[in-house]
Parts: sequence; structure tokens; C-alpha cells
Amino acid sequence: MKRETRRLVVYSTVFSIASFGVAAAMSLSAGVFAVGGPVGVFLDPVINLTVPLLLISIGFQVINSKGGPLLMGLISAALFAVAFLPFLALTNVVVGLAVEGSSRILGYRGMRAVVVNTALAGGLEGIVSVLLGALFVGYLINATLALIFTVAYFAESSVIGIMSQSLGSYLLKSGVLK
Amino acid sequence: MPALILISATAALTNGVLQMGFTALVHRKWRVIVIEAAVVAASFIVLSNFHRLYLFPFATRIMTYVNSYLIASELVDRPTVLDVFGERGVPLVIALAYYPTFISVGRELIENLKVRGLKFSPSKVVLPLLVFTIKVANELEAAYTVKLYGKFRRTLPKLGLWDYLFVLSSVVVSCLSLVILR
Repeated sequence: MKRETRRLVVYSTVFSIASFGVAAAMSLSAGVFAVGGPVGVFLDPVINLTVPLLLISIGFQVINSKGGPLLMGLISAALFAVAFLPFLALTNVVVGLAVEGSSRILGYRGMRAVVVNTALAGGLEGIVSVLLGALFVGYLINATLALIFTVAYFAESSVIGIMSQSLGSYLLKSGVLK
Repeated sequence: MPALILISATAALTNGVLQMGFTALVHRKWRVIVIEAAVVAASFIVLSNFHRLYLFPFATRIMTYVNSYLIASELVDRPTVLDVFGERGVPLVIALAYYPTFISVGRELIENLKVRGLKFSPSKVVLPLLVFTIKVANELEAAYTVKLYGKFRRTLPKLGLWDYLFVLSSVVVSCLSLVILR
């Protein structure tokens, strides 16, 4: 393996595994996936879009090279596939592709790039996972609720993006990141 | 190790309560067991209230995986893994060392907070852990670049029928002994 590829693989594996572990722990201990009703199906991503998304977003900033978001998405997809959650696996592939595209245009560091990348990753992960879950598991979704929650996912993940930007700039200033 | 893989594999097919109990009895970390029991009980109550009990095996299954990972990180001898698999065992060894390292770092963090008389706040915990994560990634990359010292390249041995029988019987024996003797 070339040096750059090796760096890409190691970093993206470390960050996706960390994010996956935190996501599994949080969603299991919260148990909102069991809440019924029309609102219940939308609640699981709300938890997934806090600390796990923060880790993913910092991962984008740390890797800082082409192919990083796509590889992180693919590794997370593999992890979710191992955990028997096919719709989350597909969602992560979609998110990886989307963020790869946006980061090619905007870059990886700096306020605008981080917020847009994170908002795209989080919002897409939220709504696509709900839609694919509906397709796979077979429940019905309310259209207006879906619209409201899409806006909520994007808003929440842009807030996370601002947090991740502040953490990333601290890491850059202190010299941990190069 | 094969015993754990077998148990985890069977947990994917059945409802997983037995496997979870068995693996919990093997590692015997009571704090972890209490948390797991609370999580499983909560998910059972919520799921049965909402008539979605078909989702319940997911909880026990994941608990089984967590338990077997804890057992493996404690019991598996890491030099032996390197000895048998050579270079290919490195990711496995790293994966096994992941949890104990993070636990020890977290303990140090909280101790330092206590000693300095600082209040517990999320940012004071998140930042050091983040720095540590980045350092881990850095060092992993360095380790792969520098390569391991010594003769670590080898082809994996091919197994015959008798080897499989031997492995199977050792799995049964180790399953029994782990429960009875510990």
C-alpha cells in the first residue's frame, strides 16, 4: 500500500469504529427505536446525530484528503451490515458519496466547509435512514412529519457542525492536527 | 476464541438470551452485567408495551457481542495471536487492546479531574479523548509504516478433518470449563 492510502485507511477505520460504537451504545441505552406511533420512527436518528455525527465530522477534518468521506461511509456501512441493519448500511453509502461530492467543491477544513459537510451528512443520514427503514421494515410514514423532521435533522446537524468546527480549530491551533 | 465466534454466530439465529447469560457469566464484571440487565429489561418492557417484541433479539444479540468482546480482550493471549497469524494478526491484536486502553485513559482523565478539583464537564472529557483518538491513529499509521521487527510473514496452515474435530472438541471443553472452573 502507498503511504497516503495507508493513512486514509487507518484514520477512517479508527473514526468510523469510534462513531459506530458510540452510536450503538447511545441508541441501545435510549431505546427510542421502540417508541410507536407516527412520530416514533423519526426519533432514532435524532440521537444518532449527536456525538456519533460529531466524531464523523471531526474524522473528515482529520483525514483532510480525497476519498476520506467515501471510505468512512463504506466502513460504517460494513459495520452496520455486520450488525444486521441493512438500511443503515445503504444510508451510509449514500452519505459517503454525497459528502465526497460536496467536499471536493468546498474542501475539508474551515467554517463553511465543515458546517456544510456535517449538515449534509447528518441530514441525509436522518431522512434516508427513515425512508429506507420504511421500505425494508414496511411501516408507513406521514409526509408532513417527514418534511418537518428533515428540516430538524439538517438544523441539528448544522449545530453539530459548528461544534465540530470549534473542536477542530482547537486541535489545529494546539498542533495535534497537521 | 473459536468458542466465542460460535456463540456469537448462534446468537444471530436464536433469541440470544441463553448466549447472553453464558457470556456474562464468563467475564463476570458485575458492573457491566448490571448495566446490561437494566438495558435488556428496559428494552423488553418498552417493546412488549408497543407490541414489537420481534425487535427484542437485537438487544440480546448486541449484548452477546459486547460480552464476547470483553472476554476476548481479557482472556486471549496477544503474543500467541501474533505467533500463529503473523502479520495478519496485527489488526486483531489492536482490536482486542482497544477497549482496555480506552478504559484506562478514561480512568486517568477522571482521576486528574478529581485531583485538580475541577468540575466534571463534557468538553473537559471530550477534548482529551479526541486528542487520544487522533494520537492512536497516528501511532497505528507509524507502526504500519515502520513494519514489525522479526520474522512475521507466514502462510496460514491448512486444516484437515481431524484438525476441525480437535477444534470442535476443544470448543466444547473450553465452554464447559469456563463456566464450571471460574
